[in-house]
Amino acid sequence: MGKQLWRLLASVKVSVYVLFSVAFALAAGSFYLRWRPGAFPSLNELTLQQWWELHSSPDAWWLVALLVMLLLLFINTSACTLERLVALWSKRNEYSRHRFLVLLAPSMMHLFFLISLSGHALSLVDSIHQQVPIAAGRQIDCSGFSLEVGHLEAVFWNHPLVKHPLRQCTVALNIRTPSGTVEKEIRFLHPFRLGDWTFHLAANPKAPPTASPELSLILKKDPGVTLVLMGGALLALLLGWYFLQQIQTKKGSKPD
Amino acid sequence: MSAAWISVNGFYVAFAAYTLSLLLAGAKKERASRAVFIFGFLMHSISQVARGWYLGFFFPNPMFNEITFLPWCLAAVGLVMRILDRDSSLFLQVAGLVLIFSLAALFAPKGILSPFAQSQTVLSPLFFVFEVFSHGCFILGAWFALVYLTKKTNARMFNMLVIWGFVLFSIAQIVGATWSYWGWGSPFSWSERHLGSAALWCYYAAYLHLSFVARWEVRPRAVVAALGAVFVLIFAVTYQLSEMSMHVSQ
Repeated sequence: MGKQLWRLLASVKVSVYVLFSVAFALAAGSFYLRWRPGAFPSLNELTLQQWWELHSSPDAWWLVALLVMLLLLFINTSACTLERLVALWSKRNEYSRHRFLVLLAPSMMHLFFLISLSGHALSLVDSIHQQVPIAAGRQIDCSGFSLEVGHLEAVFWNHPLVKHPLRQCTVALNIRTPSGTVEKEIRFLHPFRLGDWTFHLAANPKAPPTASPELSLILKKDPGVTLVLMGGALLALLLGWYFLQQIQTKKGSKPD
Repeated sequence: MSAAWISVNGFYVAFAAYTLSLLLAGAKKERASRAVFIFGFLMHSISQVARGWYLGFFFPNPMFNEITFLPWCLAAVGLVMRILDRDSSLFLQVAGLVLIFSLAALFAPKGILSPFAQSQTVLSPLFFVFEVFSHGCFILGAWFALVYLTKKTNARMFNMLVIWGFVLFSIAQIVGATWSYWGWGSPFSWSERHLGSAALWCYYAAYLHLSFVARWEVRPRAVVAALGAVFVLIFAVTYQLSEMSMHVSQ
């Protein structure tokens, strides 16, 4: 019974069906967000638990299906990776170092995928997202710190065809924490970190070109983001390396 | 003569050259057909580069907008295939696809997507380069899968194209996630666009694993690869078209 269950959990056939199901649930979600968005966009600002308490509805069937399938995928990928790693490790002396690394690569890719998936799960259940409008002189209180918005300097594109003319903006922030005051500057695409929090500058893209653009500060506490980005980057790089090695191996094995 | 004029008219000339190239191929004039195709590709390249100066200052993103960059990618992959593989019939099939997608681009809204504050990073054009190239590989893979299903030839070709499409798409996803994090504070967003991309990634990840499952021989895998193009067109190209119809600067 135990062996049969393990064989099922570590089956590539199951991986394929689960991956297709995840793709289907994501596709359904994509259609809902386009045609019947309802409360789904607020998933970006709330944890899954908060969202479920406030907005659960029959329309969320795809979300439930997605989460169940992702859990299955996590278990299945873990089992497949573990089984393959154990088998590979026992035969490690039979291969050259390079060949062993090439054979190890798919397991490492799956490991990085699991790391990235764990990051997404952490972000979903344990992140804090606050978006507050800012203007020069405004005070904002947050848990653990408060901040005051200092000077604000905006640069615009001066071209009639540019629809969203705000090009860049520099905002000075005075942040008071229990351990002292910190002065920071923030710009678009230049977030900064302070303790567990990251600060990002955002703007209303449809605002008219004026000297004081409609800006907001995104305050995030997201324990999963590093895992998502690191896991994803290592997975993508290793994927490219692995298939390049496959091409070289095939070229090498071609008869003259 | 403005950059906008060069970009629009360069594309018309490229389209005319692609059409003539196929007509010459039909008349069995292969060398002339290939030369005209290469001329069309050069004009298309000039048109794409000119899009970078469409607004009078340099902004790289429009060079890689899916509507016109996708046929360019298909043409580039076709030329590489022609160099690597001397089979001219393959090249002809790619040229046919280039013509179809160029024709679609002729009917798409003219102009470019306007720049915005968060597009001022190298990650933004880089994301589009990888993404559109991957879509090109998926679409070509689907086409050769269809050819395999009807004529039983070139089984390796569609598989290789889908594999490299998946590699490029994975790189695009991580570049896009980093851009999204820098610009909007989160590597993933619950939006139509991000969910569609994730769906596509999982679909092709499933395809890649099919070769390890018994009874999933080349033929059923070709069906999955061919169906993939439908998803690419639904999630990627239609999204680009709706973006173009809302935010275009002419």
